[in-house]
Amino acid sequence: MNAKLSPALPSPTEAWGWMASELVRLPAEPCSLERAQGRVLSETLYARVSLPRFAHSAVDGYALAAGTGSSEFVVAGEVRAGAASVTPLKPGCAARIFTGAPLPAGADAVVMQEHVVRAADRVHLSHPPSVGQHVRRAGEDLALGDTVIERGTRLKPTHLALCRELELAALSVTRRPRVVVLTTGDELRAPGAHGAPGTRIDTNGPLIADLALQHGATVVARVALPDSRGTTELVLDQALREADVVFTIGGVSVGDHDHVRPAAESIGVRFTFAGVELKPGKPLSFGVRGGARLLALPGNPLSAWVTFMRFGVPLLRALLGQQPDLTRVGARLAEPILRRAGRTELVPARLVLNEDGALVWPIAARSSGSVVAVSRADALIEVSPETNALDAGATVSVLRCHEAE
Amino acid sequence: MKPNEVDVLLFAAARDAAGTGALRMEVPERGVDVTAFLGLLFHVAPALAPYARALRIAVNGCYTDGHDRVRPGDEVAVIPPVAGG
Repeated sequence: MNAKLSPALPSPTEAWGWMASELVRLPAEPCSLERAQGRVLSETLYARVSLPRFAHSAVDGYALAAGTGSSEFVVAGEVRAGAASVTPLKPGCAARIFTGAPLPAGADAVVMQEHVVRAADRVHLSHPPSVGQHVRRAGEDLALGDTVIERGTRLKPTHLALCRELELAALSVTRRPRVVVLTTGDELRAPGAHGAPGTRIDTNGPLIADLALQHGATVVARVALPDSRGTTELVLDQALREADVVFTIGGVSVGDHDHVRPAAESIGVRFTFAGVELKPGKPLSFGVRGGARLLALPGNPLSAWVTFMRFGVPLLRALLGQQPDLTRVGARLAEPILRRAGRTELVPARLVLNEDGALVWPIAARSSGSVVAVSRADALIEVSPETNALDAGATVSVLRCHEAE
Repeated sequence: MKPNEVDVLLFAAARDAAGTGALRMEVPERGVDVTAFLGLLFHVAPALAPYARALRIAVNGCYTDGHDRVRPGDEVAVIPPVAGG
């Protein structure tokens, strides 16, 4: 066993398991279809009508009874799409029919117009038709009681089109998690603000807020905190009253100015874990106070992004009632990863799917403060603690980070 | 069975709620404690979450408390309490 491996810190999986046991789906609320895109369905939708609603023709041609064996029919009547009433077919007769038009009673097939010879009021068929041909049966796509959309699904425009087809006016969706983002550090300034020497632009706060929005949350506040214990306590206390989730960024190590953890404990936050056996992101901490959760992310942009993806996104997804885990795929490594066995490592990477399968490029980020690496990454390669260096061509486990689904 | 998997057996009401009597889950090589294991399980089988405080967990035939560990290759039994009259 590696001497550096601290038995006191949980593995990422164990830490997530502890977090997960504290997370329950937020309550549901009604939502009109107009505002439902990107919301998460809170109850499974079942079909209350069948689709198609009525049997109809898939082509332009002639509707007839195919079972009779006859090859000549008298053309009697015409049915167009949208026809309100349709006369039943008499024996020996065929009806002129157009795509989408309801099938007349007595007909069980449609013959394409290209496959008949029409003379006066009669059609002659060149091939014997089979029962059901070119007919879209009622309930063929969706029968009464079929599952339409599973609960926990994030609604896309195509889902909403289906809801409209089913004439649903409103849906029950999970309330959006209310999020507060707190950045810490006297050195941070807003973009455009006059920069004193030694200050840096706060990219983390906006980044985490934007990612939370992208994953279905509402950001109720974003605040930059000074390195002061008292202010940290005050603001954190208020944030925990208003939010379902507070993300803090920075101030969570053990430096003299790292106030987040002691401040949180002094206002009643119970930490489920403080530190994870993970690189980058070892200081990551999670706590609960009442119905509010606190995820304390490390301060440098790369670590903040990695830990938000690995823990923050699943947290929001669990509150929304979605399956929490990021999509995991196997991929071949395009370039080697140099490392020693020790902690679980999440390596920012770029994933390419082509006809040869999945190929993944680790993004070199020697400085863990690199926002450049973050901007290029769309995936994380997960390397298990016992793994030493990995050669190009090795198969690795990759978490996809690119899209909110 | 993949190297890092555990077999999970569900009994009685837990089986009915989850809709299956057995499933497989992946755990890290050094395992996770029972508290974390339940957190992972509830997101694989969300229907079990309402029973969170009532479920008893046995690993390889022995009842556990929250600090016992579940390791790859273990057999985990999830047992709801026996209902009283």
